[in-house]
Amino acid sequence: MIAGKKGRLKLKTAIYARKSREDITELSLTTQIEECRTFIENYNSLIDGESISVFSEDNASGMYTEYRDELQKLLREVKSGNIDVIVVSKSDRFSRDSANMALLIQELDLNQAYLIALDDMGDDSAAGVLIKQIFWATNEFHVRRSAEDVMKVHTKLVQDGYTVGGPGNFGYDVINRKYVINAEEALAVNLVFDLFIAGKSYSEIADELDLKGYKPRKSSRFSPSTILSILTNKRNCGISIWNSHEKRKERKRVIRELFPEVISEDVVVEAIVSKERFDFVQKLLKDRAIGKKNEGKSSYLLTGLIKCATCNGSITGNTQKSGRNKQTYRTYHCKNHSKKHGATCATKDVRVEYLESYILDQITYILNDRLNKTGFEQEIINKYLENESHMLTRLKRDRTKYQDLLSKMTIGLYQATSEAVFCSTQLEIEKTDRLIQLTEERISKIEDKIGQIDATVTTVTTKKLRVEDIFINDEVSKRIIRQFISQITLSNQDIIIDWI
Amino acid sequence: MQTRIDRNTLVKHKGRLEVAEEIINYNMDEETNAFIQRQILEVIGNQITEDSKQSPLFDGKDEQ
Repeated sequence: MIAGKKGRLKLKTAIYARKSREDITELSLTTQIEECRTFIENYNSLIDGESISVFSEDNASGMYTEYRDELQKLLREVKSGNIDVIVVSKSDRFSRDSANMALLIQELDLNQAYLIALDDMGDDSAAGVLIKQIFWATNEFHVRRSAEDVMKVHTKLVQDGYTVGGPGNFGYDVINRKYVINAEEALAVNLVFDLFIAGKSYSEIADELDLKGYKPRKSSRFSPSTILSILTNKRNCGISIWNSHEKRKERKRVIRELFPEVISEDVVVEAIVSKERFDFVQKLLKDRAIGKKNEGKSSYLLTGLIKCATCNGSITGNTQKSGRNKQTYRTYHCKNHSKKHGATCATKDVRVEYLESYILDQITYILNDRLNKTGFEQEIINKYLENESHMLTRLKRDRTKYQDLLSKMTIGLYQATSEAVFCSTQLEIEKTDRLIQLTEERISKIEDKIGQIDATVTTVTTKKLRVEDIFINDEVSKRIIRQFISQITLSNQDIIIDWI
Repeated sequence: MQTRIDRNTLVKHKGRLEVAEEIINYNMDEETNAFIQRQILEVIGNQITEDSKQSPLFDGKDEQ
């Protein structure tokens, strides 16, 4: 009938196969495709067996249509009229959601295409359609109920302080269903936090980790997005969120949304960074909408804060060389000032050094004034020292543990009975030795920091800080400036600064 | 709070101007104060103590 409608002798066919991540009982993609091919061969008088297109996808849930790239590709082909019949080994391969299934079938109907499911026993009569719909609804019920059962068990486990599977994120191992610090990875996590607070970019942090020999679990090198995920993962400060609704926003999971988000601190045995430090970094990240670092190029501390009073356009940094000596001039420049087409803004450039110097001087005054008048908050110092001391205790405990392990392995090395045992012990010794070295480096860094606190507090509260003492690098400078200034408006007469 | 600078004055003094009166009376909020102090403990303090190890402690001279 379809062939007649389309004026073809044989129908153009596609096979669609899908396998989800969760259900290991499903048929493999190869088996599904083979079953469909056998069916097509049996009906070769109607179906064009010469030009079968195969669309298959692994790790794709049948509850949704949005995240299934191959299905979307297939539907586009149907729309273009390149496919008349889609063959699937079971109807639930096409969709496990009855509402989605009805919509998909409707779309096929609109494009005069047809779905053949090998487990479909009905035709298009009223009874046949009813049977199909019951079948689809049963499929959906089956998936939802088993998912609900799993979710109930998982919710209970997390509420009781246990993890529900998975290898744990970078920094933690899962031991006895709890997140336990992985000493080497935790050192890397701490380094990531240190470097970010010190004003390093994600790629600079990745380079530093690479240099120190740290490796992520699944690739050879840290990427900027991994660095960001380390900085934002609450588990690093001891809070584990299961079934995070915030994450669900990115990828919807209907069944998961029926269950509550469970926040637990019992799942994590020990935090890698303190809550204060983690919150501080979150604040830095939130205020960070500063733009990408221009590697090797001039940095403009006020970019994003300045606007033009004349045209209301943004003012951006500009570097150019002019004059006989080709001197470099850095200015804040209205983007519409030199527009070649359309209206030209009259606002003239302002030298970067002049404006920045003025602003940094004013902020330095505010900071000196406050620090000299009210000093340092003892509570902030105490909390900081408490967290650092806690970290120090953990690191010293780890060092002792690894030193003991090292001595045992060294004895074992001399008692090794085969070359294989000798080699693997030697490798483990090298690994442990490196871990001890890294831990010792960290210990000495924290001890230095703690030892310097008194001197730092005395210095900053009794002496006058200079601009260069506070604005130590571009990133830190940008952070501080944005704590004080919300907007700068530039006109040809004056510059207006809005202070927070 | 707003401060206003005359562009000609800014250029004439190459950005090294007196502290504005509004700035002298500026009241830093507690959140910013906590943020700055944390930043000093984490990074700036280290830099200051490192510097002071290399050279005599600041002479207190204001660059302005």
